Amino acid sequence: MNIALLQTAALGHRAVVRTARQPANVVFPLVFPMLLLAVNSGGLQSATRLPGFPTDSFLAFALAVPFVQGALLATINANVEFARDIQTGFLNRLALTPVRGIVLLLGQLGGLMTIAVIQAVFYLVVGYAFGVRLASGVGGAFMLLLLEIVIALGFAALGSWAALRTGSTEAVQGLFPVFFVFLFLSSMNMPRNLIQADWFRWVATVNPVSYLVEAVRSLVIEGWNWEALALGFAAAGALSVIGFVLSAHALYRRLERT
Amino acid sequence: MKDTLAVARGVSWRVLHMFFTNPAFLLPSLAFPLFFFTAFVGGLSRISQVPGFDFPTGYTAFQFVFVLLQASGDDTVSIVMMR
Repeated sequence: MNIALLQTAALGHRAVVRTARQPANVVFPLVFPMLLLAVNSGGLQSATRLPGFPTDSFLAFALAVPFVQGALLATINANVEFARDIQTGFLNRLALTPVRGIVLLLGQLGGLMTIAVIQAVFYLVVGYAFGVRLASGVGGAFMLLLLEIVIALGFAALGSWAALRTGSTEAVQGLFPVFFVFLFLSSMNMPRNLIQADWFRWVATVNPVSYLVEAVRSLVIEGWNWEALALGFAAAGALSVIGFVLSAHALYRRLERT
Repeated sequence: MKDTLAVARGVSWRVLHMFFTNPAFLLPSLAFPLFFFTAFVGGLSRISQVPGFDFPTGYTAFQFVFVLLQASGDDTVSIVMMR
């Protein structure tokens, strides 16, 4: 058991260090969501004057989006590297060692979650610097980090599945627009009850990303909304379980072929 | 002058041919602006009820302007990538 933990930690550490050594993989997931946040919060501030809008600060309202978007960007970048490991034969060479298959996967996912937490702390600090105060207090910040870990795990597991299934960096990069479609068709810019178009409200309601955004948002602007948190954790947990099962299956298929 | 126009016509034809025969250029430049149009019009149409929003033909037309600009930008990127 201890050996498995050591192996997992070593592989997780490798995933973090490999990302940290590539400035494009570090800077882009930190800066791009912040730029989008700045543009949206500047341009849509007047939306807070709509009757029923839950806060008078669009920055606070939109701060939830970078947490989901950042987890998405980080996992895409890191899983591109994972796919490169497959392309370059690193995974095959590792499979010849006593390292267990599931440890490969856990190490990769652990590394991605570490990166996501670092990003989440950065987003929190930026939000705080621009005057956003969490309605749920310090405890809410820790809950937010926990939620971010589960969200990142969900995206990371799905990204790992794509990497293992295809072994192609291009295929993993191709997931980026697909995930982005889910983000933009969610309640990221408007509370679901204020979405005017019926079809869009329906899409946002069946879209699990809406619940991820709303869970983070509830900690920022509402306080402790247990229903939103439960839905967020359930959506992220379901994505994680589905992604992990698919990834584990794809890993064993890939190791069989070697 | 005549030679210059002939060269310009030849280069234009090459760009058009490459753009319309390569799905990697054509599809994103059509799909992305339409997707953003759909997402923003669907998600943000309530903005038209914000006090002071006075675009005469409504939020959909307001958003369509952005889509046209985005499509122009995407096409420019595609053409630069061809070189």
